[in-house]
Amino acid sequence: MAPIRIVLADDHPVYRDGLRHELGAGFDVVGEASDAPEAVAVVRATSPQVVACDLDMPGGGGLAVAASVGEVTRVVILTVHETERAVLDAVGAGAVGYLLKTASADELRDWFRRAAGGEPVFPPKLAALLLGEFRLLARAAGTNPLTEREREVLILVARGMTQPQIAAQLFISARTVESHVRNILTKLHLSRRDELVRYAVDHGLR
Amino acid sequence: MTLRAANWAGRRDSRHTRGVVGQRAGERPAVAGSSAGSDAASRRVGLVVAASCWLVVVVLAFGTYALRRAAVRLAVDLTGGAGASAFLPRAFLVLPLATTGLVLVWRSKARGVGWVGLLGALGLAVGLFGSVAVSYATPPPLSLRGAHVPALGAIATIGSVSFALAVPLLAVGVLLVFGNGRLGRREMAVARVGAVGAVLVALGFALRPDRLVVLYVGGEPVSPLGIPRFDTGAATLRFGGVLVVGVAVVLAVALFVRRWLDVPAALRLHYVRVGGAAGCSAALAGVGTVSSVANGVALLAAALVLPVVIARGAHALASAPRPDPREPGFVALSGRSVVGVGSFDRAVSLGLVAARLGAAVWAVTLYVGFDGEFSGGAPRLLVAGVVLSAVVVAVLVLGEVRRPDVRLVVGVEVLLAALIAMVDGVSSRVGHLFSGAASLGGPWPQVVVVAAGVVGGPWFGAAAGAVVGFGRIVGVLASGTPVFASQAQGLLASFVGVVVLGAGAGAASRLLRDAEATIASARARDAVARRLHDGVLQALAVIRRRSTDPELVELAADADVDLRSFLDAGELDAGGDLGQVLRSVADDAARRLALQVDLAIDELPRRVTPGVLTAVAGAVSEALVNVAKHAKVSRATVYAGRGEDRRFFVSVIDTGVGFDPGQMTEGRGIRGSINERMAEVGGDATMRALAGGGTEVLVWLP
Repeated sequence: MAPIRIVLADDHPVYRDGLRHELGAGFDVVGEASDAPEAVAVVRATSPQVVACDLDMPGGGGLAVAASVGEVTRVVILTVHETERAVLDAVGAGAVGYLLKTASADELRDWFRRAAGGEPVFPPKLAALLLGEFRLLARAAGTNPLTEREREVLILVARGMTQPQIAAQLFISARTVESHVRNILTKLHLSRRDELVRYAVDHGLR
Repeated sequence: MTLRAANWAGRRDSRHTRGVVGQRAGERPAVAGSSAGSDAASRRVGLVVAASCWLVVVVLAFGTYALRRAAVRLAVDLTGGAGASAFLPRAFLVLPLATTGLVLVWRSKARGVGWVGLLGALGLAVGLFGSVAVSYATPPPLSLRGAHVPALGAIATIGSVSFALAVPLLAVGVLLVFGNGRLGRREMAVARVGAVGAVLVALGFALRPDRLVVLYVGGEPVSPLGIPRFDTGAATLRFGGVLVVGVAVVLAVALFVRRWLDVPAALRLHYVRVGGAAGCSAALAGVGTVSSVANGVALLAAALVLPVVIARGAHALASAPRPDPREPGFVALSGRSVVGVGSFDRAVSLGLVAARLGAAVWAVTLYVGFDGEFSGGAPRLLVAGVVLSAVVVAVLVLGEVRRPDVRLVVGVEVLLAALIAMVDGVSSRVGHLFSGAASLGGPWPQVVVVAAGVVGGPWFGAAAGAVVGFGRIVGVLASGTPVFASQAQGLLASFVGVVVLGAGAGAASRLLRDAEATIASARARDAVARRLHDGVLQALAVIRRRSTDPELVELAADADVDLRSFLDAGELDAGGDLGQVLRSVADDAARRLALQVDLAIDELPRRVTPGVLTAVAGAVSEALVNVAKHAKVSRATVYAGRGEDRRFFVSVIDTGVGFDPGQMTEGRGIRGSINERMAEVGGDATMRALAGGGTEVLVWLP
């Protein structure tokens, strides 16, 4: 199997070194960056499969990277503190998910591999944040943007179930679970973008 | 709607998004800042705020007064009818309202909002048509006979009532659309209060529609549709309705300002707009329901300027170090400078004093020199002289006090306002405080009462209102004119009105100040957290990752848990204590059981009794011990949320080996003890093996 092409973006060189070392042979680190604009430039130049991107970096951090290149590659946000609201903003802006920096090397490798294959990186806490976010959206629009099934899936993800567990619980295939999760993310991106675009229009930025 | 959203998203170009993102990131609060700099800034804010308050009240009141006279003259010239005099100024107001309605329908995302907007626009159209029809159908000498009256009356009634209903509906629509529709439970409660007020107003018009659309028959105003005219009742209903709507608007603005301070920068503008729109709607409602344009403008000034003043002050406070509350600089910052005091430097003080005197001179001149509505010369001049002297003395005295105590200053202001109200009562016709045309009795005392509420809280505001209201009653009684029962009722309503105004302003500002404190401490914690994330937590992560010394790794892991629990304290305030408890249970498990616990909090009950709290904490930590002992995994998820039946529960899930229900022996014991804990407080617990591996413990709260 060909190594996965990955870009590492973090303003701490020591952390990048450690991460590169741990990823090992299965990954090909095609570029590194220490701030958001540099990360965007490196991604545009190297078109990697995955970007591992620190949340707090100079130049706008992971949020700016996700907003700029979230459509052309899969941005995974790395953070040391999981309750930050900014994580949700980054995912809304186009990142496929986030990971804690304290995750074990095995976990990191596993998740990057899955992210490269198109799977969302979706810890329970993010799912809980998403549930709250969609409740707000539902209140705004009068109808819930999520289908009942999608909501069920999201709650089970928040409860910490794995995809096979969810599939068994809901009597559907793992593939269907995956596509539900992907739809949920798409809906979040869309609604978030709508909000940003409205803001841009209102401020004459367009 | 989805289609349009997708379109917009498709056309998005990343440059703009980046601009937005940059702005958001740049919004992070700067905690540092020299006190000298913030002093100067606070002085500037205070100056702008105080000056704009008075400028708005004085200039706009004078401007619209002139405008009103011009409009009435124009109307009389155009139609040659007295009926038009009531129509034209209102037509000016209907046009912007109708435009707002159409914009709402056009812009609204949600269907419900669209309908509200459409309904409002339709109501306005009917109202406008009614006004036009009636005013054109009543040429001088104003004689209408028999069959025409009911038809015209029907139009007028429909027009009046829909006009009255349209204004609050539009306000709600504006809130929903520009506030992104994110109305919480409190906002909805406030909106309902507003709706009750709207119904009262509409009822007031239904009983006496000719107050809105003038219908003259044989030179006398009549009630359309032959509805008997309940003058006093209708007036009280209208007045009460306006009051209720006003209170709702003040509360709504306070709530939205609280949110404004707490939302991402990208959305703040929406909230500013909402405040403005709500203020405009309130003012227009005031104009539509209260007879005087000048009073409408005063309401506009109060509704538009006060929230901005309070919001700016609160915003500045939240990002500046908290000064001594007795310090007048603080007064200026938190919007208390409505009364125009504060320890500004000399030039600024003099400027304020001059503005004050100018306002007084203008008002008294208007009062004495106006030829149309007032009669009598010498006593009026005398009274005006007394008021003017009192103003001058008060200003001079206050100018001499170098560091005035806020309550003292406001106290003097209140007495001054009461005097003005009293004089107004002596000299103008009997009516309630909000209806004196072009008089001192309207804007000035009202603004002072609001200021008193902001400074001293609800009770102080109510007391100030009582003093001012009482001053007016004394004035009316002293004038010697006979007071009819209906007028007495108006006076009483006016008295209650100012008391409620002061109390409402006090309550709203107290709400804001609490919000300020919460936000300020949250921001301070945020700044600390940011620094720790960037430095210490990063370093710990690197140590855990790269060290080969197991003791060092363990030490770093412990320090990591410690720091996190410190940073998380206070983050779950909104969710109540259960969130804190779950977090400390999770931290504990991480420390003692070497178990990585993901805590996902979806919804939490607002209040949990201590007994239930202890039971849930015990049950969850027991479930985690169970995971550590039996599941053969190092990871578990604790989730708190709400089930289909709206009951709250906490689930503990691991993806470990699971169990065979038929063979559980020890497990049953654990289950029993979890169950016992919950059963004691009226909840229960279940445990099951998950298909696909793993175990789930569900703890149901009572």
